[in-house]
Amino acid sequence: MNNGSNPEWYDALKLDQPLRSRTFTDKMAADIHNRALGKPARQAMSWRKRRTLGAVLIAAALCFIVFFTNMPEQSLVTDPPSHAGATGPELDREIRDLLINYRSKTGWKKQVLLQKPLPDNQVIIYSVMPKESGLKDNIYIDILQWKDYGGSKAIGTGVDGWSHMFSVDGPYTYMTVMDGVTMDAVTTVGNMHLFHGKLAYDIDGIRLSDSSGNYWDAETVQSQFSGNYWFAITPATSKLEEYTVAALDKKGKVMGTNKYLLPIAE
Amino acid sequence: MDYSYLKYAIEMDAQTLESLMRDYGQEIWNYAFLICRSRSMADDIAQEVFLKAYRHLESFRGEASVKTWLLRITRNLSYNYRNSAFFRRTLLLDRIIPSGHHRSAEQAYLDEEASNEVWRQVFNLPAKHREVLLLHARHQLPLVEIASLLDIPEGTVKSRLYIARQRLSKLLKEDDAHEQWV
Repeated sequence: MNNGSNPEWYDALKLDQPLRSRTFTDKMAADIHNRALGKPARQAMSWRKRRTLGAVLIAAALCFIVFFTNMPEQSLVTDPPSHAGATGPELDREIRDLLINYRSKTGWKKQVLLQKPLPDNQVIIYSVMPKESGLKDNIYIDILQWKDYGGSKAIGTGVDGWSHMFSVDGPYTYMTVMDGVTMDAVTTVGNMHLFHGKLAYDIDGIRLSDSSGNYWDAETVQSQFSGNYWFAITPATSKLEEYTVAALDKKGKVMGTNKYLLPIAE
Repeated sequence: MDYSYLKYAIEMDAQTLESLMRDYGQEIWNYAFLICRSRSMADDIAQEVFLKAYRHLESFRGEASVKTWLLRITRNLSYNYRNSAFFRRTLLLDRIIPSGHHRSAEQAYLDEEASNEVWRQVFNLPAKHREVLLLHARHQLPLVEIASLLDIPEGTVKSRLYIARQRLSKLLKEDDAHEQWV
């Protein structure tokens, strides 16, 4: 029914399908049904394919380890280690959202604060829940990895090759490092330490440094509703590590420092 | 069928999948075809849409209708296909090579298969105008829902819709004049 404000040809679009023939056929529906409910591809995978897949994953893990153990010592590391190494195809937003909201019982969609590529086709995503969820001050960390199954796209747990490698969330159990700077418990994933915390508005940056003189500038992100956050990734190289956390002003001048001994679980 | 219960469901059952395909299968295929103008890609995309919906029901949060959720997945997949190297190699080649007086295979198909003259001319509009007309005229989605689906401001939807209507009206008038002349 044309409501009068629409052109007269509107009804022709509303009432008729674009094409004469039915193109979504019963056969197509049956194929989808079979693919959806059929034997999972993972189980149907041949021993040979499984062996190949295993070899690929082991090789990827070895590359990851080799990358970090051979990382040259640097006295100035302004970027986190994530910038080196191979990155996967661009992660599209729909797939990212599907994966990071997977199993979410809250019904709210996470708001992504920061997304960074990591070596070995991984990407790390920091997110928070929107204010309306009532779950403020929760930081979610998700690491997704692109997996290439040698053309067998149906094999694997991810969407379009991306799968969930790591996820952490929970109440923001922060410690105050100094006035205006808080830090959540440090998370260690593989050979990375993940630091993050919140900043007062008059602090513009955070620099982490270790006892060898290496340092890493944190990325700072302003959340839509819960202030400023800082994020830094450092390589995990020893079992006992001491970091200095420095707060910087707009010109990069140090406003205050504090030492932090990283407890590493055996 | 009312699918609002799906926002409380953890997994989709086979019956619901079949029902969704019966109710929306053709509309999903149409939307994919409208964006890609390729039958083979519309076939692939329609299949992927329902597989994704079946496997990732948790992405349906009930904020919009099930139909809008399916259209959103369709749009994202269609633009992924359009941006892929495969699309550029196959579809654009089809458009470039038959230049001059030759019609591409898809154009010939459209000329034969379009259900009426209005739809035939819709396919001659740019993709962004084609899809806004489809969503507004065919699916009767409100502007705010179209804006959310396309991830653009409502004002941009209005201006796209305005231009699409103007262009289509002009094409239809030209076509009418041509037929009278012939």
